[in-house]
Amino acid sequence: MDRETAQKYAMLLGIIPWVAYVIISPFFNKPRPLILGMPPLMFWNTIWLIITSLCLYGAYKLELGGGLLE
Amino acid sequence: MSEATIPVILILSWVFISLIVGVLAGIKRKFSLEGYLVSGRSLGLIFLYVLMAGEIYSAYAFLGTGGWAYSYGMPIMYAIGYGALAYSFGYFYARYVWKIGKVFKCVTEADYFETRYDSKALALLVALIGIIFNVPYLQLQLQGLGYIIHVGSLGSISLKAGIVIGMVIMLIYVYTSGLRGIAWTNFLQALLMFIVAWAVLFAVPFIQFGGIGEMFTALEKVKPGHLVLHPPLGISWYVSTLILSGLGFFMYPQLYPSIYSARDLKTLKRNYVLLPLYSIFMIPVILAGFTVAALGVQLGRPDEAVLKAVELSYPSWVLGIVGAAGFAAAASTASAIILSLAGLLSKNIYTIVKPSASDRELVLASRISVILFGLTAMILALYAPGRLVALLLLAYSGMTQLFPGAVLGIFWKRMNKYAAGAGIIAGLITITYLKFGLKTNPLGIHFGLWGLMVNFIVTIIVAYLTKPDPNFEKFRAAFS
Repeated sequence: MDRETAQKYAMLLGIIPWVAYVIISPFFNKPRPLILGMPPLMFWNTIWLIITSLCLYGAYKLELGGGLLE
Repeated sequence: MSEATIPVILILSWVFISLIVGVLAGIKRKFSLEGYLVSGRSLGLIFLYVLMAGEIYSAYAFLGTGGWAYSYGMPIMYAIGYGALAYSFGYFYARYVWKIGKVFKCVTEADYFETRYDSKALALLVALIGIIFNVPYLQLQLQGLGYIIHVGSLGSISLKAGIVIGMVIMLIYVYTSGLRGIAWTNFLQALLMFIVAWAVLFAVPFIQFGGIGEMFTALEKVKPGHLVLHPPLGISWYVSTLILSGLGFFMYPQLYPSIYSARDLKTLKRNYVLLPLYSIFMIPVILAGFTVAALGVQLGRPDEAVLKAVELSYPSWVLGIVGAAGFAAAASTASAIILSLAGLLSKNIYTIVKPSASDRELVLASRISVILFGLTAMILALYAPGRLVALLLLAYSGMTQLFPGAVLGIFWKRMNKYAAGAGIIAGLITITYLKFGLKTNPLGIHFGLWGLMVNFIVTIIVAYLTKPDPNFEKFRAAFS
């Protein structure tokens, strides 16, 4: 993959957490059902901390492959 | 032996260990300005991680998030989200800051602006904004620190004594070791935070209700509104606060030295991959706050919630560990702020008065500035608590106004010093007016975000009315 494509896909991965928190998370604003004991919004925001790390790891791998981290 | 003996010993020995480690980090070194302020651009993954984690996990994260969960409930979820957003922005942004820092020898946030816009005046504006909005923030950290030590020691160390002890310890190791001292002590702080979050606080809902689900079921009966976002802290407030905090986080001056201090780009990026996970530490704090609300306990001040949760669930000496952790959280944030403000004062303001200052002289100027800011914050915390509330309310929104100048400048040739300066000033006027003139958030959207919108519009208009910046090519050349 060349530099520009790698950079583009890496940035797309970086936008995913913004979509998850800013656009999707408000739809989880209700008291039930409790998931792992937590209200839906709390569960969603917590689980996305882990997924955000995974997204950024993907971005890192892409940038590394595209030679962007020299 | 009184009941308070063990907690007091725990807190004081932790404070003492931090002092020793912080001082050892730099006692035998002769520092250059780069060595002192950005640890010679040499930090590896672990030190970088604890340094940046300490910056987000402050005394506020410790007392404030628990207090918010207790008094408002679900709106506190913004605090869980914005870190992840900030890091997924910072992952890309930090590349530019780091590279510019390396090529042009930057050590402060204002240096970055000065390099891009070739303007000492704009750098001065950025430095002043950083100082004006962060001194009250520093003061707040110190008050939080004093309060936690006071409660953690079961009242046997007074609030004022706590503030003085905390500040003096921090001043000694920041003066001696600069950023290295902060990185070393933060490593210890992170360990203690880990223990307190997972071994002490996470168990609180289990001890009181037998589980997290049971706790929320009980909370729903006592305070049904706590399980959802509701006006005035409704969805538009939540979304706009997430955006504002996610974008604004990387405009704080203490973030810049930590970016510059990274050994290389790979280390820096790996660090941002791992940082969102650190926000999970806030979950136990929030659960503790919810538990106190579910128990129906009435608190005089909401910030007591986390400490109350510990008091209700454990033997009293455990408060000592929490007190030490509170010191850790406050010190790791406050020390980084002090050092970054000292950098702004010596590198971006002192050099205007004396352009010929040598590197050695600037190290000394930075060290004197460290003491100056430390003592100012301490005196404010001791004798004028609450006096700077107005500045504090503007702090987050105020720092965010640097965003268009910092980010548009990376890729937009038309962006120049006039556009950046005009945008910043327009943004600051807008937030001040909305907060103190209008006194309400129009459409429920955070006033800081309104400021940012005005800021962007003014920036773009001025950029089109003035000449493109010839300095842009020199700036971009650093990336090819």
